[in-house]
Amino acid sequence: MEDAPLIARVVADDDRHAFTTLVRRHQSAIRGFLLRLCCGDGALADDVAQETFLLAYQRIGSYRSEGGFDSWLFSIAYRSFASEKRRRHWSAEELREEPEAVESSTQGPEEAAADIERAMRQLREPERACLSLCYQWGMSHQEMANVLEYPVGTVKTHIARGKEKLRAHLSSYDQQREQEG
Amino acid sequence: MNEQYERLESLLSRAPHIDDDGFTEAVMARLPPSRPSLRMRTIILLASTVTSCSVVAAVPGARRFLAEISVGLVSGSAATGSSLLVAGIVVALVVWGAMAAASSET
Repeated sequence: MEDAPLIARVVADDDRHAFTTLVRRHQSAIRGFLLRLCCGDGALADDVAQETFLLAYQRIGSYRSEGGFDSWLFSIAYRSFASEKRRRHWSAEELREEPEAVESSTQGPEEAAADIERAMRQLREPERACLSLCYQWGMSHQEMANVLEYPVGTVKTHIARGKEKLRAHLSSYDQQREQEG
Repeated sequence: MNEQYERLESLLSRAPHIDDDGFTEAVMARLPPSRPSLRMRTIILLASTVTSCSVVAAVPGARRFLAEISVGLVSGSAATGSSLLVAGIVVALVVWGAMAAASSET
């Protein structure tokens, strides 16, 4: 069953079974997005993800289908993250700590991907958000602008800057590997 | 340079699936108690209204009281002003009670 009839059942009849299906369907994307925003801190990402779905449940009556349910959830997730960050007075440095940074001796795409994940933590938060939505979830610039409430031009700038920083990181990573090899 | 960007985009586009692992249950446990459905709330509201009207109609002298209020309302008589006030309060209480019953959590 698609999202729309499930949403209608939640709005009209407070159907918990329908909401369970929606949470189960979208949890991976929302938790993955928040995991990147939270710099790999899984427990923190899950706390914010739970808050996201609770808010979604409370506000589901105001959902309009224009942008798709997942975009709407991403938008709530991003605002929940921003609000949690303000509430806990996180500094950029605190968030950029690397809770899972592990040195690996193996080489290959898996390690390169893990290294990129670590490099993502060094990016500014809007850059991380834009890159995640663009590449992991294939959103258009306009969709990202709606989700993150930035102008389209700002979204493009964040993507370009984030990509350039990561490319530079990848380049130095390759050089390092060549020297080691 | 382009090759590096392509490789970067391919690395960034990995979106590993995160297993639910009890996450959905944790969210559902935190939801507020369920409220009556829209249909049920409408039924409660209508039933409350019909019941209260029946009670008023069954009380001896209530019809005459209502008739007096209606006449007073039409003629603007000051004598029925206080009766009108009482009737207004009663109606407001009945509506408020029905609304509260309809929106209360089960």
